[in-house]
Amino acid sequence: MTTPRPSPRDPVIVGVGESNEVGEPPAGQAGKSSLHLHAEAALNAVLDAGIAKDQIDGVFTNESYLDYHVRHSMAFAEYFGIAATARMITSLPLGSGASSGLFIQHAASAIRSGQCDTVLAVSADNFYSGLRRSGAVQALADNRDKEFEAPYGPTLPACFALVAQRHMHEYGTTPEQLAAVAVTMRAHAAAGTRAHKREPITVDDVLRSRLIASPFTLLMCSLVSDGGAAVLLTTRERAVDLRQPFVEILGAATAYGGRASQRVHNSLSQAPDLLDIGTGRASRIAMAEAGISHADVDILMAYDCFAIMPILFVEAAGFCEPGGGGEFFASGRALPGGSLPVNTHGGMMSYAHPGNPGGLFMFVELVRQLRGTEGSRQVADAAVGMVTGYGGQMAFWPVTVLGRSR
Amino acid sequence: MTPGRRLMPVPTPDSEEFWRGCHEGVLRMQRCRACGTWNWFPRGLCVNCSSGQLEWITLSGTGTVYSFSLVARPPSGAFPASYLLALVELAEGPRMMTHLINVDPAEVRIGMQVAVEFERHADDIALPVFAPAR
Repeated sequence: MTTPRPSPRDPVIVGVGESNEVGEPPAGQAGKSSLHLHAEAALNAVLDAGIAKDQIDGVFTNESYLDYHVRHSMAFAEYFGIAATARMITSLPLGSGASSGLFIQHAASAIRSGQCDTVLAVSADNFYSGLRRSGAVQALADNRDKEFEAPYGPTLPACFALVAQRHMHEYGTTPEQLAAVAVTMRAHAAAGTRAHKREPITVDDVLRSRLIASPFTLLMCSLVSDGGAAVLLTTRERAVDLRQPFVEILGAATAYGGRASQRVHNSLSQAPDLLDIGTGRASRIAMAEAGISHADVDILMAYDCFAIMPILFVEAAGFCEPGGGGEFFASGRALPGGSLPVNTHGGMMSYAHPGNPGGLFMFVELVRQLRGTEGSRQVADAAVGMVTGYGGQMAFWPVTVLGRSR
Repeated sequence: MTPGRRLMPVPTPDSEEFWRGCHEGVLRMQRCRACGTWNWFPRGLCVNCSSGQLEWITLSGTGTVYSFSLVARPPSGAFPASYLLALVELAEGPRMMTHLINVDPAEVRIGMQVAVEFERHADDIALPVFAPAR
C-alpha cells in the first residue's frame, strides 16, 4: 500500500451520527418528521466530532420523498440553525443510492478547494410512517420515465427484478444465491442492537416469503424505515484537535454509465447492458488513487436495495469473477467473520432503509468500524473499507475508499 | 389496496408522432438521416450527431425478450393484480419497457420472439405491448 503525501487541506471524516432510533416508531405512536430526523442525525454527528455547530460552513442534503421543499437544504439549515457564515448550502437531487457517495465526493472537493472548512452531509426521511399516510409507494413507481415506463407499472422491485432475471439468464445465478444475500444482511444486523430487523432468517425463510416481483420475494427486498444519517468532514489540519480519530478518504470516483464508450442514460430501459455497471470503472480509479489492491479491503459496503445489487457490486469491483457474485454470498465470505464482510450493520435489507439516507448509513458504519469501536461486532484490525452505490436507474456509480488515520 | 392511479402518457412535441402511430396501430421510431442512428426515446436532435434530421420510420414490430418479471405487487389498484413487466429488444435495435400479454408466465423465456400489439386506454392512448410471435 502506498501512502499519498498528506496535505493539511485533505478532507477527512471527523463525525458520524444517526437519528436516535431507526426503523418503525413504537406501535400507536406517530413517527417524527423528516426534518426532525435530519436534525437528530446532524446533532449526533456534531456531538460525535466534538465540534461547535456554528463551525459548519457547508451543508449537503437530499430532497425528501415525503416532505417536499423547493429548497430542501435551506429548509434544513433554517430548522437546524446553521450559521449565516456558511459558504455552501445545497441539495443533491434524489440521487437515491448514489447520494451518499456523491455527498462525500462533493464535500471533499469543497474542502480541498478551500471553499468550505467543515461540511455536514445529512439525509433522513420518515419513510415508514410517512408512506403509510401518503401512499408514496406509488410515487416511487411513478418515479420512472413518465411517458415510456411509468404506464407499465415498473415498481422498484420489478425494475431490479429485470436486472436479476438477466443475471440468472447469463450466469445461472439461483434464487438460493439471491436469498443468501438477504441471510447475510440479517446475520450482520442480528449481531447489533439497533437494526430495524434482527430476527435471524434462513434461505428457506427468504424463498418462502411472498412473491413481490419474480424472482424477488419479500425478504429479497430492502426495508421501508424511518431514520436519518449524517457525516461531518473537515480538513486534516483541524481534525487533529478533535475528539475522534479521523477517517481518511483514500480514493473516490463516480462513473456515469457502464463502459466509457457509451453515452449517459437515466432510465432503466435506456441502459445499454443491465449487467455492465460503472462500478468497475469507478472502483479501478478509486483504488488506484488509494494505492490499494483488493486484498487491502477489509470491509465492503454494497448498496443492497435488492438482493441482486450486492452480487453485481462484488463482481464489478473485482472481488470475484463476473457471474461469481451469487456464489460469493452463498459461500459465506460476506458473513460476520468472513474474508470480506459486506454491510456490517445489516444494510438496507435489515438495518434501515429510509429512502435517500440508505447509503449514508453505510458511511456511518464504516467510519465506526475503521475507528475500531464496535466491540463484539468489530471487524478485526479493519483499516480500509469500500462503499459502492448507484443512482438513477442503473445509471451512475460512485465508489469511495475510506481508511483509518495513519 | 387503494384504487390509486396509473400514469398514462401525455404526448409532448417530441413524442406525439410516436403516440399517433400507436393509436393507428403502427410502431414508429426516429432514425437520423445524417448518421443512421436510431433515437429512442424520441427527441429533437440526434443523440449521436445532434442533427435535426430525424425521420419517423415504421418498425417491423417484432423483437425478443431481453428481461422480464412477473409483478405480483402492483403500485396501485389501477393496475392488474399481476402482470408481466418486460424489456423487449426490437429487431431494429432499440429496447423498450412494455408488458408481455397472452402468455403463461411460466412459459416466458429471455430471448423469446415477440410481436407488438396495442392496448387501448382512455384519451386515444394505445400502449404498445408484446405477445409471443406466431
